[in-house]
Amino acid sequence: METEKRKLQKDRIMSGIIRGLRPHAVTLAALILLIILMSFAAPNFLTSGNIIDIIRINSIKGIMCIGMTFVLLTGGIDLSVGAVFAVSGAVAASFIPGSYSDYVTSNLMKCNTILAILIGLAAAGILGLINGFVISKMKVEPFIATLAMMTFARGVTYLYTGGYPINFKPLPDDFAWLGKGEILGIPVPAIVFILVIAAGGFILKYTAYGRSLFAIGGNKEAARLSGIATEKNLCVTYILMGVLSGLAGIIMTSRVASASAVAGESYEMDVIAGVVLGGTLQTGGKGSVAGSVIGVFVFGVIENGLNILGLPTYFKLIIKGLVIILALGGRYILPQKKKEGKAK
Amino acid sequence: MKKARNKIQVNQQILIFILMVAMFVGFTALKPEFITMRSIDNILRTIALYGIASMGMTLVILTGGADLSAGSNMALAGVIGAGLLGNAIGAANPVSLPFPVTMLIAVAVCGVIGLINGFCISRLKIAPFVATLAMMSISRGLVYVVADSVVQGVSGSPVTFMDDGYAMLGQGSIGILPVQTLLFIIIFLLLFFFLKYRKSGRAIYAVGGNQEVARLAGLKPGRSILLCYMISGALAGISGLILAGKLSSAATVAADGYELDFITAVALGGTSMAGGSGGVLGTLLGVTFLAIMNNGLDMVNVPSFYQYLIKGTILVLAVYADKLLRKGKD
Repeated sequence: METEKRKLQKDRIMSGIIRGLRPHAVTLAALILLIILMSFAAPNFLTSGNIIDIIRINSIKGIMCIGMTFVLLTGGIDLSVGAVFAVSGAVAASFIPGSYSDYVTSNLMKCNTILAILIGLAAAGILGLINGFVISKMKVEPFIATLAMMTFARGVTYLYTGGYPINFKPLPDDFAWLGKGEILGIPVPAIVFILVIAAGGFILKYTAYGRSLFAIGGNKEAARLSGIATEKNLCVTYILMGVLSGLAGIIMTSRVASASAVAGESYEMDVIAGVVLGGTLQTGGKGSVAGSVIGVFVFGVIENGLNILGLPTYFKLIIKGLVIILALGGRYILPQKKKEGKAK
Repeated sequence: MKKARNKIQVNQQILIFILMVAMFVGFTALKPEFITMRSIDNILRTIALYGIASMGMTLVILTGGADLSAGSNMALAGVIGAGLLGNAIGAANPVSLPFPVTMLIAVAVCGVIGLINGFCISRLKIAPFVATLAMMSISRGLVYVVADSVVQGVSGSPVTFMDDGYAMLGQGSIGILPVQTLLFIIIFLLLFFFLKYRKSGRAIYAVGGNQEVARLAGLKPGRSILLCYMISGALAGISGLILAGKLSSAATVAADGYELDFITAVALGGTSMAGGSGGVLGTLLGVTFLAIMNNGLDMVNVPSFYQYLIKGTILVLAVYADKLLRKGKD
């Protein structure tokens, strides 16, 4: 009886996952094809070390992608994620015991690692809150508001670090674990990523807040009239985005054992590209967490493959651009059979 | 209705103008050197360098889009123009063309890239932000391809060259007026009259206001969009050549992130990000404002760290003030 129930539950979860993945069949197929191609072209692509490396690196960007999925769903955009990433990395690093730099702020106060991480997340959350406030209350377009925040937050990082990198001597074990550690062979950043995916997927599917994002992105005025607290929910979305960027920034700081003012520059473009490739519409109202995860890994595999093959990294730039254009515009380039069939 | 909208816009522009004059007076009071010939010359050059590309950005934003590939296109024009001269340090390419031809080819290539942007947006129905984001990446990749095929040695080295034509473009003056400023004034006037008096110029406003309505009214939105992105690409190319001429070097990382400065200038000038209202006159104001602010802050020795904060804050406040003014009038 017990086992049957459990089996039923398992089936339900599996069918749920399959249903969730179905709209992304094309991108998923592309990802699998890419992996197969790469494993032929580069013999050491499929080694477990390399696979874990890909997962570890892309988990950090992936965490930001989940937040960006939420933001794009509301019809907005967040250009400040890279700068917020740097702020929270620097703030958290400066509070962690063992960190030092040539600038005064990093050596002022130390506290235990968990508190330091929370302070870093809080700093990122505050920047997200400012974004949310400017967008929802002051009604400034998300593009302009977060563009301004991108400049502003980068300035904050420079002011805070004085432009000097923050290094560790020594890197505390508990902080190192966050970026470099493993649980049962799975890198910790990947575990954090999986938790964020699960939470993100759950929020979007089963909470009133998550459902409201689709409504806001579809038609903001209609959503407001039907009783959704659009301003509050928008604000929460940008805070969430800020906190997730901050989390990614802190994990990255731990991974490279250093925080710098130029960290995360132009990450916003990578993150948006991943989410958009995953099928989330930039105009809002349509998208999913699963798509974004696939999108991130498509770019991750391309990047890793080019590195292994020893091709110049700038090919990555060209391929990235072409992938986006073909993925989104491809259906208009190919002859549209379906429509013609219907017309007849 | 139309009259009212014009009036509101003038209000916002007056606000920026007053701020600008106040800033100018303030900087002069703090640093008398601010109104020397050299400083003014510097400001005029900055206005021209940023202004030419910002004019193109204005057209694109008027259609309701944005061109994120502008910075990469600037760098691309630089390496193509400088590379085709064939006299770069460590040059490996057999081509060596005279200055005007290299310039034309560089601007034409950027124009074609703009055209592809326009095609992706109007025909392939990709959101402007995403299409030009992709193009930003592709174009920057092409910069490296071109630079590496021109210069032997480490991948990504700049193309450093000597040429009188480019020196004239980036550093020369006619009388007291820098050449690039003269070029900027010509481009500004052309676009101003194009937007105001030509049918295809007016069509851009209609398309930006409501694409579907414009289509039903017998306009061809696709054509307007193609035109705007092509002009934006070509003008970014000209800015890129000026930048290369100014430094006698075309770096592969040149103009990284400039597109956001152009968008800031356009937004400060009161052009709506949603499209359909605004114009090049406002952008001229926005560019001048930014140029005076940057040069002034540099002269009074404000650390560049603070300049980030000031720039971000002013952008948000200016757009917010615009919203308030619009609301007050409604």
